[in-house]
Amino acid sequence: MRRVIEEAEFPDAGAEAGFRPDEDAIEAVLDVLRSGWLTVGPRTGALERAFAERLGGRHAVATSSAGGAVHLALLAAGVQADDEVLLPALAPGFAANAVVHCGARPVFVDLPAPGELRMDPAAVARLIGPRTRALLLTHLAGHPLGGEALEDLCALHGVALVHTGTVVPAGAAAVASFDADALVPGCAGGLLVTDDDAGAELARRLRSHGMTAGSWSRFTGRSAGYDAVGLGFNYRIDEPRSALALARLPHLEPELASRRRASSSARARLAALAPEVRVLGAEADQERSACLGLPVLLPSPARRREAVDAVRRARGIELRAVAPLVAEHLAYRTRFGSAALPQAAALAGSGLVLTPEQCLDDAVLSRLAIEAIAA
Amino acid sequence: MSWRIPVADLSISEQEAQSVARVLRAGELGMGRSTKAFERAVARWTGATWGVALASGTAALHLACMLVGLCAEDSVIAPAMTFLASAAAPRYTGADVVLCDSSSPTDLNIDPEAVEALITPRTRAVIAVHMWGYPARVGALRALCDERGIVLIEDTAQGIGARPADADGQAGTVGHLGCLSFFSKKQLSVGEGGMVLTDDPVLAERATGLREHGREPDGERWEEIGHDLSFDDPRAALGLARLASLSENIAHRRAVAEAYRERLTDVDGLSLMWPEEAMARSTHFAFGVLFDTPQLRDRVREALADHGIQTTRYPVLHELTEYAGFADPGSLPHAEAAAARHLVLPLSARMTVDEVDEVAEHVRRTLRAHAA
Repeated sequence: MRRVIEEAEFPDAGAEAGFRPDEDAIEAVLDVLRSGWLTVGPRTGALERAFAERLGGRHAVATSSAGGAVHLALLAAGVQADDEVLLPALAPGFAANAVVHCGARPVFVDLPAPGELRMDPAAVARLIGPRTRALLLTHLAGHPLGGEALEDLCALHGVALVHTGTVVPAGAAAVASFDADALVPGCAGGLLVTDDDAGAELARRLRSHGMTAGSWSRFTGRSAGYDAVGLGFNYRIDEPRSALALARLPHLEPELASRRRASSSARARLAALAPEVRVLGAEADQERSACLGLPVLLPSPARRREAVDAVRRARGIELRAVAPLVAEHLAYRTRFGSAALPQAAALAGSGLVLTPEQCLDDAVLSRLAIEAIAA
Repeated sequence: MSWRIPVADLSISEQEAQSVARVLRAGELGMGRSTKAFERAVARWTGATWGVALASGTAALHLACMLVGLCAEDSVIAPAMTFLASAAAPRYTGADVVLCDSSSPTDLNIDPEAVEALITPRTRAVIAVHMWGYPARVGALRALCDERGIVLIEDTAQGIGARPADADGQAGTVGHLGCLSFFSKKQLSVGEGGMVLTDDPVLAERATGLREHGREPDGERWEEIGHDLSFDDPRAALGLARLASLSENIAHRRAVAEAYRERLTDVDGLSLMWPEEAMARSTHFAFGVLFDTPQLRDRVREALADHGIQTTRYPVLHELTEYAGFADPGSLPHAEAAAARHLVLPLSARMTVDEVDEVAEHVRRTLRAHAA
């Protein structure tokens, strides 16, 4: 069987996705390099303030990876060893791994149906137990995998709710990935946002080995020495990457608007070509979606294979399959046992995520229509 | 406020900066060809067979501990006198850490005799740190570890290029695994970065997979739950450009350290640290002196600060809140004495002789005033 590219993150993702920083961003990086200060410093501070404001939050903490940001967000939410964290069956690897790195058990929540992205609150409620500490609400290509009812559910049960993505409720605890959320495509990095003062302080401290004062603080004379409180990590981002991300912020809104237009256009075109093509996530929900891609469900794995092969032959383009479920990976099955997630597994087996460019490619859309009808 | 003479400093040339710009313009933001080239170049420079580039020195130590298969049943011996990361990394795997004393207050590295006394049936690994760039006795430590079926991990974060007296090859290539750091203050710096060195291709391949969420190198399926410990091509390009001047950087640092020693020999109130013969083998990440008392140390630190001169000191781990339970006060006398009485003076590849003169003069003057 020909391999399809199954994961959103892979080497040179920036080059493959076609993203190149513009000259303003490159000059911002050059300025940092010329300054001679490379570790967490003023650019990182500026990025954090700007991003917190953008998401309507009080605090932001920038990290070397999205996984690191999720790890810190969960710790800030009080997750400890032997706790449980609920997350969608379609959660990406870096999010599920972060739960494991807390020493907690990931509890995956199935979809109500392969074509329905949002978890059923009743199903989530059934999975909340005495050890449930948090719900990590991830997205699929920007489409949230749960709705507002989950906020009430979590509040009722005293379960912390952590979103991922850049389109989140104001003031929500959230984590954005530089790469997966198109802040800086192809670049590792993350941003945690929270309104919780203590949580932000904990995240910032554990980002750098639990140290109570970092290099910049000692360099600028604000601190003389340091203590270490808590087992921390090195999740520090560096100034060049912060400068890159800061330069990207003004582009995010126009890019989001453009992606939403591409998504709407594809929905309309596919509806006209073949209603048999299941486009996931409702059009009406686009305002809550970052529209990083358009999830589409074909009738079967065989039809998906045909579509991928045909588009590759005809256009030299790789269609991206929905990633295999993290729960089904050998490491997870070995450690946590097999999880019964048939609806999400069906989507993972037959689903595709179209990129915004592919949304505007009539040859791609036509091929999907052919495969959907051929069933 | 910032310091007139900072404790560490770096400058990046326009040529080095443009090497980063070129990679950014090509859209190469992930781990690709520049990273592979950097790994090969550093492996060649150090004499290792394989290098696996990572997010940081901490990531390298963490990955090394994962590669060894450390878990909650295991115990690891690590120096009490080191940066936090050396002790944190084994703890990420669930293993516990036993702190080892320094050889003396003027030789911060651990010695094989002290390590041997700490070995128990649960000991799976020893982490030897080349503190401040001065090489530890890793030849003897490797022999001890081999005899006992224990893994030697070299924390070479501060010691790239150092030459142990009791082994062939550079620091980082004598143990089973070596860990480098490219943090901004290090001799080879890119901001944040690190590398695992090994001669074992199986370990190198596992490391490559584990650094990207635990994917196997061909991305088919995960057998282990990894982490995002990835490096990237822009930093690799910077590292490659700066590697060209690493030897010169180290030579300059060595000259500064020697200049300090000349000016601070036979000064009442302080002792030089490390044996003279280690000067040629060290790569001088930091330069420190040992004062007769903690009070003298603090007085000199304040006097230097008053003149805009930054200094630093390394806490012994168990004086920190997080490690308070790891050793009783008084149980590690050499490391504790070193921590209480040493002071790290400014040192960088940018430092001038005039600056060395000035720092040394302030130290001497403060000590004279105290003695008077």
